[in-house]
Amino acid sequence: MLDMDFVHLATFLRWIESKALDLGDRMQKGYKRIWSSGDLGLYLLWLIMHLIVSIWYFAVDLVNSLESYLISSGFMKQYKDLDISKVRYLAVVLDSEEALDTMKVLELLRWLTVMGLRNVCLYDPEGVLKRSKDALSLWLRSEGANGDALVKQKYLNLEVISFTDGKHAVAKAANFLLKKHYVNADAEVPELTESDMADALAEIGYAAPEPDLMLIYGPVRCHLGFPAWRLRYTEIVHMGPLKSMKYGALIKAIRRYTMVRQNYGT
Amino acid sequence: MIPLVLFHNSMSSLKPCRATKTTTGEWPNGARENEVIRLRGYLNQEFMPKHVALIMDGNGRWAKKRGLAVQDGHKSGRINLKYLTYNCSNLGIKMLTAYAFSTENWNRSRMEIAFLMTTFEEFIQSLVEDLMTRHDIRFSAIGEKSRLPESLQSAISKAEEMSRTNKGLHFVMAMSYSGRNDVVEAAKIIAKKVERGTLQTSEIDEAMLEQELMTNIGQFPNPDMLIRTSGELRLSNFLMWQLAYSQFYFSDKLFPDFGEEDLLEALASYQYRVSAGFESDWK
Repeated sequence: MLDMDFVHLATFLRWIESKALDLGDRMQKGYKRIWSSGDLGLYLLWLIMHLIVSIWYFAVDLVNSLESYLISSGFMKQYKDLDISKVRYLAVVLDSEEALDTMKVLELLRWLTVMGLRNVCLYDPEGVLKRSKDALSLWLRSEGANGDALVKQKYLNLEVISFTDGKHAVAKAANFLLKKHYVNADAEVPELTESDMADALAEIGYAAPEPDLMLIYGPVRCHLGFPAWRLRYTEIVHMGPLKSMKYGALIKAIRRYTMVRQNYGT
Repeated sequence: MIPLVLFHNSMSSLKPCRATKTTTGEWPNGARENEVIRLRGYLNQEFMPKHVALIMDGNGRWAKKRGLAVQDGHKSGRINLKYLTYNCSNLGIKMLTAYAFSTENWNRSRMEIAFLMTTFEEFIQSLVEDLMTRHDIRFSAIGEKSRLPESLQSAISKAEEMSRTNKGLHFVMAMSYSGRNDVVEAAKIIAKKVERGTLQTSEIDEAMLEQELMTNIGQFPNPDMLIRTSGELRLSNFLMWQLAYSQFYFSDKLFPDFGEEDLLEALASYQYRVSAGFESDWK
C-alpha cells in the first residue's frame, strides 16, 4: 500500500480544478468571437482546432505536474539522493512583476534552504527584490527561530542584485581602468586583459562568484540582464512562471545539473 | 490563445525518426520536404527575429555516435552550417552569428585545431563561391583574428572585402572569440580614443561600451534569439553582453542533425513568445 502525502495530493487536485476552469474560460472567449464574425463555419472549425490544442496542452501540463508530484513525494528513487554540493552557487532570475510576490519568493528560498543550498543569488531587473531583501532575510531567520527544524539547521548566504550590478558595473570598472592606466598614468599603458577587468570589478565592490546554475522564473526565456561578466559557464534553466513553481521541478532541474559534464571548450 | 503553429510543432515530434544524412553529411534528396513546407507556412514574417545567434555544439559527439572520426563530425557540421545559412537567408533573417571557435577551444589537440582551421578556410571559400555571389550574403568574422593562421586570416579578409556591399543576410562567424574579451577590447578602444583626444569624455557608460563591441558591425548587433544544439544549456562565453534580452532555444539535437525543420521549430517557438507578448519589454 502506498503511503500517500495527502497535503500534496490535495494541492495537486486543486490545481487540476483550476486548469479545468481556465479551459472553460478560454472556450467562452472563443465562443464570443464566433458570433462577432460572419463566417460561422470557419470560426467553428477554428474553435474545434483550438479545443483540441487546449486539451493537448492540458494533458502535457497534467503529466508534468504528476511527475513533479511524484518527485517531491519521494516516489522516484533517482531523485532521492541529490548531490547538492555540486551546486556551489545558485542564481535565481525573476521577472520584476513576478518578484513582487514576496511570499512565493520566500517559499522558494525556504525550499532551497531545506535542500541544503548555501549560496543563492536573487536577481530581478528593476531591483524589486533589493527592496524586500531585509524582509526576506528576517522571515528566513524567524522561521528558524520558530522551530522549523529543517530551516534552523541550515543557513543561506543571500545575494540580491539588479540591473545596475550588471552592465553598469562593468562600465564603472572600465572607468576605473581608464583612470588608472590611461588618464593619470605615467608609465607605459599595459595590454589590458580579462583579469584586469575582473580585478577592477573587485576593486569597486562588484566581485562575486559565477553561478553554477541559473533558474529563470517568468514568462520570458532570457536572463533579463543578469551580470553578463558572471555567466560564462552557467547552466541556464527556464522554470516557467513563479506562481506555478513546483518543488519537484526544482529538484529535477538541480539533479539534471549535477549529471552534466562540462568540457569547457576542450 | 495557443497558436496552431505550436500544435503542429508538438505533433511533429511524435512522428517516427526522420531521414538521416549520409556519413559525409549530405542531405538525401527531398528529405522531409513536406514537413518543412508545412512549418514554413506557419511562420509570420512580422515576428521573424532580425538577428539569430547560433552555438553549433555536438559535432564530435555526432561522429562518435556513428563510429566516425571527429573530423567527419566537423565536416558534417560545416555542410550543415552552409545549409542553415542559406535557410536563414531565405527566411528573411537579417543577421546570423555562428560560434565557430572559442578561445577555450585553443586547448584542444594540435591536430584537431589544425583540421578545424582548414575546415573554416574551406567553408569560407565555398561560401564565397556560392552563397555570397548567388544569394547576396555578406560575410564578417569577429574574434581574436590575430591568433588564426595567416592563410585563414587572408581568406577572411578577402571574403569580407568581396561581400562588403552585399545587401542580404549578414553572416558573422565568431572565431577565437570570448565574450569577456569582447567587453575588455571595447573598453580598450574607448580608453585609447580618450587618450588620443578623439573622444571627449570623463565617464564611460554602457552605451559607449556597446558601440565598440565586436558585433557592432551589423544593423542589429544584439541577437533576438540564441539557438544552442546538443542539449547543453549554457552560453560558454559567447556574446554574454549582447544576449541579455535574447530568447534562448536549447535543442537536444547534435549540430549536424539540426536541419531546416529544427530551425523552423525554433523560430516558431520564438514567434509564439513574441506574438503572445512574452518578449521582455526591457529591450
